[in-house]
Amino acid sequence: MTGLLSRRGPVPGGVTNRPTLCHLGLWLGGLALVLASLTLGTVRLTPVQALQALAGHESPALQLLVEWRLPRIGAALAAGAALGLSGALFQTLLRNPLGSPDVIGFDAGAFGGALLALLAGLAPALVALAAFGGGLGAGLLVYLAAGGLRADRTRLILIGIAVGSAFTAFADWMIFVAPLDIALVAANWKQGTLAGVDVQRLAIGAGMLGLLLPLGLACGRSVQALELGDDKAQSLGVPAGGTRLRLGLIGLGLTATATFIAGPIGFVALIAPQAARKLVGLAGLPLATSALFGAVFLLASDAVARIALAPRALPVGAVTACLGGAYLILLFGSWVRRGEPIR
Amino acid sequence: MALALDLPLIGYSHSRARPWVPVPASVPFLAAPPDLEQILMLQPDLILCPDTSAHSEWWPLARLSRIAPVLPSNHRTHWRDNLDRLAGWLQRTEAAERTIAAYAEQIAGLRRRHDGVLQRSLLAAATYDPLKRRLMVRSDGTGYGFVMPAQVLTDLGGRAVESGRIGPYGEVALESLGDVIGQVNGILLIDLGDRAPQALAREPLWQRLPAVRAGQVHVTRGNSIFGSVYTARHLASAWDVLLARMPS
Repeated sequence: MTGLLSRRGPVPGGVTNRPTLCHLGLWLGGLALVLASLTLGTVRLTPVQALQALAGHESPALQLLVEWRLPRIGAALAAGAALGLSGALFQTLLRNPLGSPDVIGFDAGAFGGALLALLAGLAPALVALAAFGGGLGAGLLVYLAAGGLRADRTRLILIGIAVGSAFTAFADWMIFVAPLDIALVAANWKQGTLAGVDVQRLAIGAGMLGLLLPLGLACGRSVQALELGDDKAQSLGVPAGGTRLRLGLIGLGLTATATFIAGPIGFVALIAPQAARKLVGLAGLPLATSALFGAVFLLASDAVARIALAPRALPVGAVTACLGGAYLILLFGSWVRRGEPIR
Repeated sequence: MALALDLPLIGYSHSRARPWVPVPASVPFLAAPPDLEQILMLQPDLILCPDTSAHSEWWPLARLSRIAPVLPSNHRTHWRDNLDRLAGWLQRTEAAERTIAAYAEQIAGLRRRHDGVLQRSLLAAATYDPLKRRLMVRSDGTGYGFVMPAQVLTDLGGRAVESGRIGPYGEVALESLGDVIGQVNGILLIDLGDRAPQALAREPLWQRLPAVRAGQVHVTRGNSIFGSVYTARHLASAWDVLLARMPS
């Protein structure tokens, strides 16, 4: 069994310790971005000033860092990791690089559920639960509409796109008829934004992520087995049906967590697994690297959103769409040039 | 409100001051939506913010209160009540009373001049959305609350289109114009600066309205949907022009 699974080692030309180096690079890049996000903005601080403020007594700089910048950084890292891992799980499940939760409508479902809870005036914890319910509802709808157990993967994706569009239209309508105070919050949230993240929302999101991230990362062996095909997975003691259900539920939970924290942010779940795969140089999708890349990518996007047009801030979703779209075109273009299949 | 109470203004956000609001040239227009870091840098002693949506990006009252004390205003109540309340908190009732008295005098003059027209007429204030091709009627009772055109019309004693006849935010599709505002005698069209009145003027369903055919439409330039005393006075003058066009 181990022998079979280890066949998905480095691709030809790969370096044996490349995954470790990639992880190290992503951690260092992430740390540099955290420091940059702490110091850059309308109020510029040097790294020394930032550290002094964090170590010192009450001051405007400490308030700036603790109340606004740190929660925002935490939210970007948490939502990015959740989206990166969720994308890797769904792309493995559907064996298609387009099979990410933002493409197949699960984040739109999660947003719809959260929006209903927001309209009902429920507490943040229940809004988070409603986001999971909405994502699960969208998932079930896609699964059943695609034919349930007999569902073809391509059909799943196409129906997912349709279901996502329906949920998006439903959310737009709800925003339109909502009272002004809720409509304004929901409209901001729908764009994908980290600006309004407060400590309470981040704490709930981090709690959900603390539960789901280890569960997701623990699926590595199941993911590897599924990549070999259902029959081989079965022969390795990994029941395909049950494993798919488990991966799907964890993926939905991660999508709902990210949506609850920052709204529906596109492209992170789509590109993080593919970028991670290219970085690590493995044949399959590396879960931990996808989560790490997602976190770093979203944090970088948020830094651009905050700084590019300062003091005006862009919604981070707009930046991920621009950066992610451009990256995806380059990535697919490079595959086409090399004659590699898009996988 | 800050200007009406002679408060030392150091910056403002959301949208640039309209020409009728006497903001000193030295007072900077800040980022919109508000950038909390920029406001923090200004180190204000007091912040005025509508309580429309305390957790939204545009009116982040909850987060602004971490910078300095915030005094709220409410878009569902009359500007006079907001000014009164603020003046009471800040012990500037004299300035507020002066402002309110000047406005009351202006309104009383208009009521005397147009009493007959106001008694007989059904009036509407509206903006036009050329992208969605719909009129937004600015009556009281929509999702936007007690908007300024409705406040001033109420003060004048005029009759407006009821909110029950229009959409949740005052929207009226072009094909419903005849049904909803066919009985309206005078229309105050607010030009938000996007050439919407010109686009509306080209619409046959608009041209067929009795008020339009009778020339009982007045276009007032600048966004006057929300505001306070200066916008109220500007709107009173705009209603005056419209009412003067209508047969007494």
